Amino acid sequence: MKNLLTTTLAAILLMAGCGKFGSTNVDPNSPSQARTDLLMTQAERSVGTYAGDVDGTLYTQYFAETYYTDASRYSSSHYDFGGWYDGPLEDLQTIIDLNSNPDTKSASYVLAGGSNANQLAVANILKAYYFHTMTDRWGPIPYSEALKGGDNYTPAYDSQKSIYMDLISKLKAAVNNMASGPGVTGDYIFNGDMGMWTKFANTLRARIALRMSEVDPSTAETEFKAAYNDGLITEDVMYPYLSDDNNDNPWQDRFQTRTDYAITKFMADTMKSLGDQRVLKYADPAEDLDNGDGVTQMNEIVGMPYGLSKDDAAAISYTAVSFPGHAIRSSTSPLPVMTMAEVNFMLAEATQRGWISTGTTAAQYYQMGIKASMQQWGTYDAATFANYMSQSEVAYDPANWKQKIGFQKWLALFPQGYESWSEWRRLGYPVLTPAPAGAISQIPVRQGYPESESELNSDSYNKAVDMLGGNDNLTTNLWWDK
Amino acid sequence: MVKKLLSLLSLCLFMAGAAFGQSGSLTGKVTDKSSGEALPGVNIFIPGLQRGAATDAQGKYTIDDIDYGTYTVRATYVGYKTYKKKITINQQTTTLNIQITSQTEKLNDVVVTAYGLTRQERSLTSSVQEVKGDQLAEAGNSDLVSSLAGKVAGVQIIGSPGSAIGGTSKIRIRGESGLSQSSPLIVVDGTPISNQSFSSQGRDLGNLAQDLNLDDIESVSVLKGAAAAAMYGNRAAGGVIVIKTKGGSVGERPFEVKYSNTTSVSQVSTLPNYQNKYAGGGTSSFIPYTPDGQLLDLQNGQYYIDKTGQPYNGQVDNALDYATDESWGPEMKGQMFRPWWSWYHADFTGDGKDDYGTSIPLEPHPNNVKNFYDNGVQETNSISISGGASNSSYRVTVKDANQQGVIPNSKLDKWYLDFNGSLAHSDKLTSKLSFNYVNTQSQGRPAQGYSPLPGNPTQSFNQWFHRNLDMSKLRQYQLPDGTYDTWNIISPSNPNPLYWNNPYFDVYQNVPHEDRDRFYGTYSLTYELTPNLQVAGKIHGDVYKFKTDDRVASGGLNQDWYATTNRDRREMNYEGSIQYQRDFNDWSVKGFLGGNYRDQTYNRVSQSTVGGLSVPNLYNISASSDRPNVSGYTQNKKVESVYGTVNLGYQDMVYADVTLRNDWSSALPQNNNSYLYYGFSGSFVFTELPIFQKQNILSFGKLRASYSQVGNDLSPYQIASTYNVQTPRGSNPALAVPNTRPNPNLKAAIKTDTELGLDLRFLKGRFRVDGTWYQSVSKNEILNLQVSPASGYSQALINAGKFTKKGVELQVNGTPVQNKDWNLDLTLNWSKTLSNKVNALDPRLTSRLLEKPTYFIGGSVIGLYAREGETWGKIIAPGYKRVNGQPEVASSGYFKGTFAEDPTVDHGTILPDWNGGFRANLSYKNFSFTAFLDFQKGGKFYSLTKLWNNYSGLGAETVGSNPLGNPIRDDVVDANGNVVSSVEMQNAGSNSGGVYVKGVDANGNAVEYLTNPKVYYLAQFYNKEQYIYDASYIKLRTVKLTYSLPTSLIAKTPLSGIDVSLFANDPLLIYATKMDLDPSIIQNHGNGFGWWEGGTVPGTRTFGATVNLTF
Repeated sequence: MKNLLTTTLAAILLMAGCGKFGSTNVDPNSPSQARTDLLMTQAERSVGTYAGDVDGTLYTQYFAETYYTDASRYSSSHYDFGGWYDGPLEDLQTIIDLNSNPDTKSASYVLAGGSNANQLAVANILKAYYFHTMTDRWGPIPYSEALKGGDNYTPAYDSQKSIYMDLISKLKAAVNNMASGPGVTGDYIFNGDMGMWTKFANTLRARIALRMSEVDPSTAETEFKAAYNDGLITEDVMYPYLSDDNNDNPWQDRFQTRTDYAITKFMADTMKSLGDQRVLKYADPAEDLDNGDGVTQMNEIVGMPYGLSKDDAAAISYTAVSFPGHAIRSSTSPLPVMTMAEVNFMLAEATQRGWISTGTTAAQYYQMGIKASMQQWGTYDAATFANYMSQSEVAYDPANWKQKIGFQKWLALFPQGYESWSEWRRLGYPVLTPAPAGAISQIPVRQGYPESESELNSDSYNKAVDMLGGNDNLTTNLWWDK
Repeated sequence: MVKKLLSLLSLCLFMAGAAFGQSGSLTGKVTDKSSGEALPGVNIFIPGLQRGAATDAQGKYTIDDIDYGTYTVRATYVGYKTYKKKITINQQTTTLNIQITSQTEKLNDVVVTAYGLTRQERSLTSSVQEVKGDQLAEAGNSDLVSSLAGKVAGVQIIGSPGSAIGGTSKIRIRGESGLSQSSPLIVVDGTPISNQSFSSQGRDLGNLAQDLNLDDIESVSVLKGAAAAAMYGNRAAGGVIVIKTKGGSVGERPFEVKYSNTTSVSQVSTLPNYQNKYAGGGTSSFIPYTPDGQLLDLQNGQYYIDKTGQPYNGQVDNALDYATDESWGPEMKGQMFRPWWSWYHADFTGDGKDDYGTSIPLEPHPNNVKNFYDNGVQETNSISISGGASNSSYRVTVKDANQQGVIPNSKLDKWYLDFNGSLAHSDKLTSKLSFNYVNTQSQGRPAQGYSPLPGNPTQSFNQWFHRNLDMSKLRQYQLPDGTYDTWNIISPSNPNPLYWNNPYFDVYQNVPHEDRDRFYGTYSLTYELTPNLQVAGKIHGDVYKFKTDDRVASGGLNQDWYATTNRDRREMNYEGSIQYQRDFNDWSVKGFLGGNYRDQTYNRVSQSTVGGLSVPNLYNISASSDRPNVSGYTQNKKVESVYGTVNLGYQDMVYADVTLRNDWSSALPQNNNSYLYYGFSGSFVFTELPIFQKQNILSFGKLRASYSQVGNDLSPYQIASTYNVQTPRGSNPALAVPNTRPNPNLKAAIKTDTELGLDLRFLKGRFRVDGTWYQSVSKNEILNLQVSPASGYSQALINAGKFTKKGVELQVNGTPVQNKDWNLDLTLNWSKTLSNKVNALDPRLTSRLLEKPTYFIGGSVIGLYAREGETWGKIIAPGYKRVNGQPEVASSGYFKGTFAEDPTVDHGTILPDWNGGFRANLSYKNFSFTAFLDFQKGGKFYSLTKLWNNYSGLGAETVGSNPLGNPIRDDVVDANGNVVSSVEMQNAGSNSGGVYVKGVDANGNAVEYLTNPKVYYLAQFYNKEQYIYDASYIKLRTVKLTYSLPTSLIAKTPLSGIDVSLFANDPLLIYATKMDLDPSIIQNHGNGFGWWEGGTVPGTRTFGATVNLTF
C-alpha cells in the first residue's frame, strides 16, 4: 500500500513538475520570418485603395451622393488614419528595418526582395508617397516618431512644413542610393523597373514642391527645378486592378448592389457645354434617358446636384441621373495614380511662374496637358481637340493662368479625388459651390484627426491641435494652403 | 515548490493513525422523536474509527469489532438534525437507541465544491451558491446559462432573443472588470467543458454550454470568488460553475424509468412601436407614372413623359418612392396607388390574372411585421433509465429536442445521449464512467446586426422598411419565371432590388446550416487505500466537431456566395489525486493533493467563394468564380498543474482552509511559465457557542472570511513575432505585419480576492439571510492594449493595469407559510456593485477602448472604454451640447451635438447598480405554483434599433401632434406660409407641423422650435445620447403550475408518479425604460461585452406543458 502511495505521488510530481513544452508555443499558422517581396506586394495594395477612395471625389465635386448625402454635406469631421500606419506604412517600415539591420540584411528571406539598396529605395519612395497623401488630408501627423512600435506608443505630430522638407530629402536619397543590377521583386506596379521608380520619385518630388508654391515659393522653385532636371515620368502611372473580386476596382464593388454616387450636375453641365468628350467616359447614361444602344451620348448624361439634403435628394430618382462611367468602375478598370496630363499642367505652371524655361511655352504645356488627358481617356481626335481648344473658356490665358490651369487640371485629375481637392485648395479653381445643405458653410479644407487619438495619444494630439491654431476641424487651412 | 507540497502531504500522513485492543459491538434502533416511527437508512458513524453502519428497514443497526474505549457516535439523516453522543464501549454488546429530530430546513445541505468534493454547507468558508437541477430545467429551459438568470446573487445574464434560437447567453459573475471579457469555467463532473461562443456572418451560433442537457443536472454550484475557484487554476479567474449530473444510486431500485414530454409554443413578444400613419418612401407625395412605368413630369398642369419630353394625356398612376427604404411617404388615407407588386407580371391576388397595373387603396398594415413571424413550436421528449445493484449504479438518458423558430424556415434540433455509471470492483476499487454525446443541427438561424451578408429581415423591419407593406403579398417572393421580386424596387421601369431582397427570399433561399457533434465525459478509477485515504486517476475529455455554412442564393440582390467553416477542438485532462479525510472527536481533517495535465488542440478551416458562384445555387467551394478564400488555423496548448488543499474543522464550529496551486503554461515564455497562487479562508459557526444554545430564534449563524488568489494566462502564440498571410494579389503572394505587437516578456496575471460573509438562519431554518462582501483586485492583466496606430501597431500585448471591484451579495430565503397542506417559499437574490474602478492602465495610457459597435457609418462614434481613475465600462460618445445644463438648440431647429468639438462625453457605465431575482413557490396539497422574476437597476446600453427606427420614419415617435395640435409630419411653415425645415415657435404658422424641440440657445435663453421630423431625426443620428438608455428592467421569467397525481390514483398502474405542468416562459416584461425594447436580451452576436443592440431579432414568449411519468 505504501508503495502504491509513493508511486502515485511520484507520478503526480514527475508529471507536473517540469513545465518543459518544447516547441508547443511555436505558431504553426504564420511565418516568423517575412519574405520582403511578399511584404512589398501587400504594401503596394494601398495605392489602389487610395486611387479608388471616395471622400475626395465628393469634396472636389466629381461625384454627388444620390440619397445618403451625409458625406457630401460634410457631416463627418473625423477621419481615421490608423489603417495607413498599421497597414502599408508598417509593412514598408519592416522592409526598411530588415534591409538595414546587420543581423537580417543578408538573410535569404530579405534578399528575396532584391538588393538591400533597391528595396530601401522603393520602400522609402512608397512611404513618402503615402505620407504625402496623409499630410495633405490632416496637416500635422505623426511622422518622425511614428512606426517605432513598442518604443513609442504615443508618437508626436510633426508640422506639415517639416514633413514636406523631409519627404523631399527622403525621395532624393532614395533615388541616389539605388543600386545597379536587378530591381525589387514583389512589385507589381512597376515590376521592379528601377528606372520607373526613379521617375515616379522625381515626379512626386515635383508634385510636393509645387504644392509649396504659395507658402514658400523659393523652395518650391528650387525643388521643382531639381526634380524636373532629374527626369519626370513619361507615361501614365495607373493602378492595375484584376478581375478577381479580391483585387478588383473598388468602384465596381460599390456599385455591385448600390447606386450611391452620381456624377455632379456641375461637372456634367460644364463638360457638356464645352463639348468635352471625356464626359462620355466619366459618366454613364441616366437610366431614364438611355436609348439602349450601348453608346453613351451627351444628351443621355444628367448630373446630380451636389450636397442636397436627404429630403431634396429623395425627390430625384436614381434612374434620372448618371452614375460614374464604366471606364472607371469595371472590375479591371485601372485608376490613375500619376498621369502625363498632370505632369504637363505642372510644367505649364512652372513655366508660367518662370521657374523653368525649356523652350516650350506655358500655353503649349497646357495644351499638351489637355491632349494627354484626352488620350488617357481615349477620346482624343485632332479635329474635336482643335475645336475644344478654340473655345474661350478653354483657351489658355496667361493673365488668368490659375483659373485656366486649375479648371483643366481638375478635369484631368478625375477621379483622383484627394489630389484634385489639394490642387483646388492650392489654386482656388474651379469655383465650386459648397453643399447647400452642408453641416458647415464651406468646402472642407482639411480632415479631422481620428477620435481615438484624443483618447490614446492625447498629449501629442493636443500639441498637434495647437499647431493647427486650436481647432481640429474641417475648416482650418493647412500650412501650404494660403 | 516540491518541498512545500511534500511537507503538506506529510502533514496529511501524520494524521493518519490506527488503534487496536479488545473489542465489542454497538447496536440499537433509530426512531423519529416526534412520531416514534422507525427510520431506515440512517447513517450511524463513529468518527474516531472512521466506521459506521446504516439502519435497516426496521430502523436497527449494528457496528461490530469496536475496540474498547470512549467514542463519539453520530447519526445523520437527510432532513434531520445531526445526533451526537459520547459512549463508552467496554462490553460485548452496547445498546444505544437514538431518537432524532426532523428539521424543516436542511441546515446540513451538502454542496459540491472544487474537484467534486462535497462539503457540508456549514463548513464552507467562502461564497458558493447552489441551484438545484429542477429549478434550472423548469419551464422548458434548455440553456444552462440563461436558466441561471436571477437565481444566483452576483450573477448577471445578458441573454439573447428567443427568435435567435440558441443564441448566446453571456454570464457575468460579480460584474465585469479588466480589459478582456471574463467568463467562468464550466466543469461537469470534473470535466472542464468549453463555453466558447461562435458567430458567422452576423448569425449568433450560441455558446457551447448549451450542449448540456439540463434534465440531467442534479445541481449547479457557482463559485464566485477566487477562494472557491483557485483550485481550478488559470481559467477560474472569472469564477467556476461546477455541475453535478444525476446518476443512479447503489442499492436503489434496480430499474426506474422516467419519461418526460414538453411541448410549447413561442410567439414574438417585443417589437418596437411602429407608426401606422405614413407609407414608405422618402417624399410625402406620390410620384406620377404612366401605367406602363414611365416617369411623368408635371409642369403648369400638363404631364410630360420625363424621358422624351412628350406631352402626356393618358391615365396617371400614383407610385410610391419604392427605392427609398424608409417611411417618410404619403399619409395612408385609402388613396388609390400602385403597390410594388403591381410592377411585376404575376398574379399576387390569387384571381388567376396578371396583377401588373393594379391600383389598391393605401392603407396601414399595423401587424405586418408581426405577421412575418411564425408561431415557434418546441417539442422535447426525454427518457431516462436508472438503477443500481449492490455494487453498481447507472443512469442513461436519451433526449430529443426539436425547435422550430419564430423566424420562418428556422429550426434547431438537438439529440442527446448521456450515460453515468459506477461499478465497485471490490470494497476498495471503484470505476466511474460518464459519457455525454450531443448532436446539434440547425437551419436558418437568423443573422443579426447591421449589415450581415445573407440579409436580416428583422433589421429591415425595424430600420429600413415601408410601413404600408402587406406581408401576404411579400410571401410570394418568386415570380412564375423563377426570378425573385421585392418591395424595394429601383423604379417602376426597373423592378430589381436596390437595398433589400424580399424578406421571404432571405429566409427561404439564403439558408445557413450548422452541424455539431459534441462528446464530453470522464472515466475515473478510485482506490481506497484505507478508509481515510483514497487515490484516484481520472481522464476527462471534451471534443467537438462543428461545421457551419452560409449561403447567398443566386438571383437576389447580392452576388451569390457560399462559405463554410469546419472547426474541431479537443481538450484532454489527465488527473491524479490523493484524498485524505478523517474525523477525530473534536477535529476533522480533509486533505487533497492533485496533479493535472491539460492538452488542448483546436483546428479551423474556413473557405468562401469569391466573385460569385460559377453554377447558380451550387453551394460548394469548387463553384467559386474567382480563386476562393481559404484559411487554416491550428492551435495547441498544454498546461501542467499541481494543487492541494487542507480543510480543518473543530467541533463543527470553526473551519479553516488552505489552498495552494502551481501552473505551468505552454503559452507563456519558456523561462517564465510557472506561477503559484494560494488561498486562506476560515469560518466560524458562532451559534455552536453555548450562549446560543438556550434560544430558538437564531438557529444557525456563521461568519466566513477568505483571502485568495487565482492566476491567469493567455492563448498560445502571442509572445513571438510572426507575419500574417494575406490573400494573394494575382500570382503574387502577400504578407503583412500584424496589427498586434507581441510580447516576449509576458507573465501570468494574478487576481486577488478578499471576501467576508455572514450566514444567519432563523426559526429552525425557516428564514435565512446570507450576505457577502467582496473585493477583487486584478493586477498585471494580459491585455491587448489599444495604442495609437501611428506607432505602426493598433494594439500591444502587455501586462498592465490594476482594477478593483467591490460589491455585496445577499440571499434571503423564507418559508412564511408552512402547514399540512400549504407551503410558501420565497427566495430573493440581490447583488450590488459598490465600486468598479480602473486604478491604473499602462503608464503610457490613460484610456482604453474595449469595444465599438459594428455598423457602417464613420464620423460620429460611440465606444466602450476603461479610463484610468474612473469606473470601468463607460460609454463614451458625443452627447447633447449643454448650456447651463440645458440642451442647446441650434438655429437649424435640432439639438446641438458635441460630436464636432468633444466626441468623448461620458454617458456612464454599462454595469448595473444592482440586480437580482425573486422567486415564489406556493404549494397546496398536490398543486405547486412557481413564479420567478428577475430585475436590474441601472447600467446603460445603446440601441441602434431605436436610432434607425426614428431615422427611417418607422417609429411611433416620428408621428403624433405638436403643441399647435398639428401632425408633426405636416410641413413646417413660417408665419408667411413658406415651407421651411424649422421655425421658431413664435414665428410658426398656425398650421405648422414639425417636431417640438425645446431647449436653450447659445446664451442660455429658452427657445422653442418646430422642426421637420426627417431633419430632426437625421441630426439625432449624430447625437448618440438620445439612444443611450438605462438598462433597468423587471421581467417575469417563469410562471409554472404543477399538479402531481396522488399516488392513490395511480396505485393500480405500473406508474409510480405522474405530474403535469403548465408554464409560461418570459411571459411579461413588467418594466423597462422603453417598454418596446427588452434590455435583458440585447446580446445580438456571440462576442462582445453585451452593451449595444442593433438589428437584434425580437424576443419571444413561450407557453407550454410538461408531462413527467415515472415507472
